This record gives sequence, structure tokens and C-alpha cells, in this order.
Amino acid sequence: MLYSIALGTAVLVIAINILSSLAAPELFGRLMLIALGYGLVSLGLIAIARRGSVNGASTAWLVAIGLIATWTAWTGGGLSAPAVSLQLVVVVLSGLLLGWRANLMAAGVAVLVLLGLWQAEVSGLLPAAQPRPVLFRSLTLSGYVVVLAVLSAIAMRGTERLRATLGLEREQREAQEHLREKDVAIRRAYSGVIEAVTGGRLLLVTPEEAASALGTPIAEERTVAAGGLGKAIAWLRDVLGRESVRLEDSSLLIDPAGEALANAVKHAGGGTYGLYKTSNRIQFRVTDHGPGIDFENLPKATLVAGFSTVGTLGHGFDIMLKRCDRVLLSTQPGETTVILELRAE
Amino acid sequence: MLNAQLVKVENAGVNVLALEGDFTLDEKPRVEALRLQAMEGGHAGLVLDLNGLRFIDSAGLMVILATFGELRAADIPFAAVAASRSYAEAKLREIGLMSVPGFKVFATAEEATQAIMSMLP
Repeated sequence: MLYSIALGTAVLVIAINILSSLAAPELFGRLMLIALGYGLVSLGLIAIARRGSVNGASTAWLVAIGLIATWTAWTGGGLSAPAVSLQLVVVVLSGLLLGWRANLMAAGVAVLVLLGLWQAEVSGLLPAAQPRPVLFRSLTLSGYVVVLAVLSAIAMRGTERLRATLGLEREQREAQEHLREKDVAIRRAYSGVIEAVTGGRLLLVTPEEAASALGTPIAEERTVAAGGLGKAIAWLRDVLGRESVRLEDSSLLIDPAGEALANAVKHAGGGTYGLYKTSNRIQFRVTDHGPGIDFENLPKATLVAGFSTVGTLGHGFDIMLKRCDRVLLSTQPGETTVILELRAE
Repeated sequence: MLNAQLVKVENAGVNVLALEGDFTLDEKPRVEALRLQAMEGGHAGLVLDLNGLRFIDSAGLMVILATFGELRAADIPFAAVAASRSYAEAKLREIGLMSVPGFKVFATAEEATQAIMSMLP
């Protein structure tokens, strides 16, 4: 867009000057000088922009054409010179290339330039200028109207593109929201079916529900990774052997806990685990930050003994459900939590 | 921790792989290596002694299942050792291995070795 605006403006201004010189041949040399100035400045802009500094190039270009426009007006008769209209072009270009702040700044500078020209004119400071033929002024002003019309068209096209982009983004947001709602609905349906099939032993819960279901920690949270499963099992056996735990058969929890820990290592490289107690339950929690259980695999992974995605026996959930009074599962990409519950004495 | 030991019964050509302690996923490669070593050519049979196990997860059970399957396919006698009401016997029962035809379970390694030897021509 920068190149098309810069080159388009330069080509139009050069064309205006050539056409205007037909109406006032005595100004041919001056008009060609101005055209050459616009041409060189625009080429300079492209050279700077190609080095990567687009904003710097735009600013330098605007300042340069602003100076050319001011010089042209100063030497062409002040406020009555057609080149005064170029200040408007600079203001519009500032907005198109650098945004609304630059637009306002350029407008402020243009007002100051026009006030300066007026002051210079009333003070008699302006150099004497040849009177411009009416056709010359008409052609030049018409040319600047064309430039402004082209710039407005570019601006409108940009706005339309922006609107289209915003519309597309809104559609994408709506589609994502729709998918999320669908996801929640499927999760709810799964949750209900799985709970019914397992007689309330396996509950699919949200991460928040999983967190709020936990009782008081019995020991500090620990981490497990590949190579640490044996230590985790030994720690659990030790803690469950303490009197305060009051589990009728603590070995009931070790097998399912070992499966949950192994799942975290297999699917996420490890995770955290902890032991908790409520008024009537002992809870063992394992959380990992792996990919989560795929929705498509969720019923099989949790309910079909022997189903495995990683080449193991696939009896993990089967053992958890057989041994535990209740299993709470929260799974989503990036976080899976399994809470195993056994009734305490 | 898992203590895994491979013992060759003298003059019988039977290998006994004894596992004691906690057989977790972490131990799978080590046991797999011993299992392959035990199954290397020339031996007459394999006894897998599970009596000392305190814990075994799905990965460990998979090793037992694979061992049984491969030996059966190669027509090499295999026997597991898991005393009645032991942890190992409960686990084998839990996953249904105890009722798989050809999966023989004995109370002691000696009984299992004798049984394999009696099967040999």
C-alpha cells in the first residue's frame, strides 16, 4: 500500500505539472523542477522502505513533500497559489500511511503553514510571482482534486478490507464459541453416560470441580517423572501405613494409584501427586500437563479393559474402577487430573 | 524397587526369572532385557517367579503376557509362580490370565521347574 500511495501520488503530481505547463509554457522549467522533486523524493521513500523502515520512510517522505508543497506555494504566490491545496494532500497521506495521530499532527502543521503564508503575504515577505493563467490554476486544482479522490478511494478500500477482516474475526470467534459450547455439551453427555455405565464410580468433572472435591492434604504434594515410579509407590505405601490414614485395606489404593502415576509418566512425562482426606474418604490425586485424553478415545480409555494408545495392557482405568469407591477424572489438553477415592474407617 | 534375577537351573536347561518388589513401568526395559536373555536359544523352558512381587502395573503385566505369548508361539514350556492368595496371584486373576488355556501357575519355583522338566521329551 505504501508503494502504491507514494508512486501513485508522485505520478499524479508529475502529470498535473506536465498538463499545467501546457497552459502556462513560461512556467515549464519551474513545473518540471517540482515534478522532478516529487519523483526523486518518492524513489527515496521506496529505497528507505525496502531497508525495512516503513514508518521512517513514510515520515521522511511526508516531510519532504510537505516542504516541496510549502516551497511551491511560497514561490508561487502564497495562499492564492494552487500548490496550497497540496497541504490537504499531505494531511490525507499522513493519515493513510501513519494513522490518526499523524493525521492530526499533519493537520496542525498544515494550519501553521497556511497561517505563515498569510502572515508572509500581508507582511509583503513573499517573493514576486508571475500571475498564473486561469486555465493553469483550473488544471492544477482539478489535478489535486483527482489526487484527493484517488487517496480517498485507497482509504475506503482499506476500510472495507478492515471491515472484512473484522467480520472474519467475529465469524471465527463465533465458530470457536460454537465449538466450545458443542464441546461442553458432548462432555456433559459423556459425563452422564459414563457415570451411569459405571454406577457413579467414574465422574467426568471440570478442573474446578476436581480442585473443589479435594479434602485436606495429608502430605506435601510431590512430583513424579520417568524413573521415579518405584519411589512414588514406596512413599504411598509408607504414608498409607500411618495410623492417621485409617484405611481398612491400604493396599487397595496402591495398585490404582500406581496405574494413575504410570499414566502420567507415559502420556505426559510425569506430573504431581498428593494424598488427601475428607471426613469419610482418602483421596489420591495425580495431575499431569500432557495432551489429555482424546474425546474420541475417552469412553474406550476409561471403560474398555485392554484399550491402550501406548502399547501397554490398558487395564489402568479398569483397575482404578474395580478398586476405588469413586474416580474423578478431569481431562483437557494441557491438564489431566485423576482423583482416586476410597472410604476411610 | 524391583529385584530381578535370572537363574539357570543346572542340568535342566530351564531358566528361572525371579521378580521381587515393585514392578513399575520404569522397570519394564530391564525386565524385558532379562526376559529376552532367558528366551535366547537353547533353553528348554522358562519359569517366571512372581511370588516376591509387591506391586505390578499394566506395563509389567504386559511383559508377562508377552512372555507367555512368545513362548507359546515358539512351543517352549512356560510356567508362572504365584502362591495361592499372594499379591501376584490376585493380579493374574484380576486381568484374567489365570483362566487363559496353557497359562500354568504353580505355588513355588521348584514345582514349576519340575512341571516343565516333566513336559520335556
